[in-house]
Amino acid sequence: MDILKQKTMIWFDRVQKTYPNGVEAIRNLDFRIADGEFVFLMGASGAGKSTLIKLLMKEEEPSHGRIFVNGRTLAKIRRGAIQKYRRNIGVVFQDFRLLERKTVFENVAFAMEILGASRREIEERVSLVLELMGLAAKKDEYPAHLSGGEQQRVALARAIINTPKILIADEPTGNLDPENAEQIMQLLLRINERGTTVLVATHAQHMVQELGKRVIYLDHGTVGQDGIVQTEQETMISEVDTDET
Amino acid sequence: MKRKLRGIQYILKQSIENLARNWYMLLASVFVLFASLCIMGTLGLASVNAQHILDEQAGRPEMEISCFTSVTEDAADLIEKTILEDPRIQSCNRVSRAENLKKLTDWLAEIGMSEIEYPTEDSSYTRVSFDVTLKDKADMGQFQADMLKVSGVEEVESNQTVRAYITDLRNGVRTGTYVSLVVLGFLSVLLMYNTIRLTVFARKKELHIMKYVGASHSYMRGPFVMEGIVIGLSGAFLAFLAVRAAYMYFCAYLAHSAGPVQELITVLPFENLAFKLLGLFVLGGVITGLSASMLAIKRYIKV
Ligand SMILES: Nc1ncnc2c1ncn2[C@@H]1O[C@H](COP(=O)(O)OP(=O)(O)OP(=O)(O)O)[C@@H](O)[C@H]1O
Ligand SMILES: [Mg+2]
Repeated sequence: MDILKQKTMIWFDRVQKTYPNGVEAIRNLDFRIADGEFVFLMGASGAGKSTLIKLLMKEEEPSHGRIFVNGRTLAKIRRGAIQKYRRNIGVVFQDFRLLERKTVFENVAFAMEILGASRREIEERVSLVLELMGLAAKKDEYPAHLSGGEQQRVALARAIINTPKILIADEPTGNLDPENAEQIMQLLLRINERGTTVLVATHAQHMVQELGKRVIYLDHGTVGQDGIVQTEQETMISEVDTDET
Repeated sequence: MKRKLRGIQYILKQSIENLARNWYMLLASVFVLFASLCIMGTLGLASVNAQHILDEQAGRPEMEISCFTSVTEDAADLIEKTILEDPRIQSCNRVSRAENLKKLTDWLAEIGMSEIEYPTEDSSYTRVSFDVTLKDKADMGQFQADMLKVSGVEEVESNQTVRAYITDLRNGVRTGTYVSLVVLGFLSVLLMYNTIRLTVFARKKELHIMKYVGASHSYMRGPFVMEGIVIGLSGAFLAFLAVRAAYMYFCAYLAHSAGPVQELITVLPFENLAFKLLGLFVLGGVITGLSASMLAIKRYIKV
């Protein structure tokens, strides 16, 4: 797959982020992610992975530099339009963030309800996506009765129910055993195969190596290495040129 | 269009859930708003009525010389002559028995007690009087004393002191209304703000998810705004009912207790004030509710 020929979906143009307390979480960060790409975001704790995601969600504003998503400058999005922008992005977290008092079905349906979807639309789409996530049998269960892996799959279902262009996962397997983690990774790949751009922040080195996908390695808020990890030796063998599109 | 309707449906459903969630805080804030509005309403009504009495007094002569009921119209001519000859007066206007009777019945009608049986046909029940204005108010005391010595004169009333007293009262009550508006308004907003804040906390997780899923601002905020409005309206309606009941009771009490006090305190019938009062209460309740929810939303629902 030649990503240089593809449309850029995410572009961080020399971005810097200093928090009000003076912590410089992101320094001169520059990279592009093409439409339909699958990218891992790695780096030591505190390297700035979550900050990068917050910038992408427009939860935080960059101190310097520009961020483009699907051709739009995030800085130009008005306050009133932020929520509309966020509909382009699905997101899952390490801690699932499900509503305990809602069933699996209701948790996923919630994301459609609050966008004003009709009962019928919801019924159809939720069933379909739960099927895709292998949760059809659990649709009336409450989150407390599910395994961690199942809960994360519900969160995934919720994240993609409104067919976002981008799916972001911040340490999605952080709380899961290897088997469940593997399953979540496979689902992320499948979602990617259907055309969604996927960005996964993770510490799971071995899994990243197995999959042979592009890895952006953050080092103190800037791109340390960017390329594809293919072997067990943790070396980056094919650098990806992200400067031109 | 359909989407919008479902949106409204959703917001209503959520606000009902919000209200049920912290019902004790809800009751507390409705009660505080209720009590505040009752106090402000009472003070406001008192001030309106004081003003009314003043206006009425302003339309009255500064001094009223009344003859005994036994003094006939003819006998009153003599008294009128005495008054007119006095160099201190500016003007003197004679009010006949018939006119005084009409005034009385009009007044009874105005305060809504026309059903009271007065021997309206028998004008001997009333008396002749003179409305007098003096050239110099300083002569008031002496003139009053002199007039009382004239035979046939039963009483000489000057409304100067009463007016001064009621003016003071009105000013006091007005100040009280403004002060309570600030203090109680602040208290009500504070308590409502806390109530709504608690609901926001209870819904933190949902709000968080809504934010990430891209729910519109109205979806996120609507239920809390509605919560504020519902609290505001409940407080307003309850306060209106309570003040209405108290006012009616007061009117009825006045009607049944005859005497000089009753003659002075002419209370406006509630119907004349009801619409304004309800309007102000609803406005006050809604403004309080809205400010409280806006504050809570601004502070705790970050987008
Ligand atoms: N809201 C904030 N205010 C101030 N500093 C922050 C804030 N959020 C993060 N930081 C700081 O910014 C730096 C980067 O944090 P970030 O959460 O992006 O790292 P991370 O790569 O996600 O780490 P981890 O792997 O542990 O999740 C850290 O030094 C952190 O302390
Ligand atoms: Mg993190």
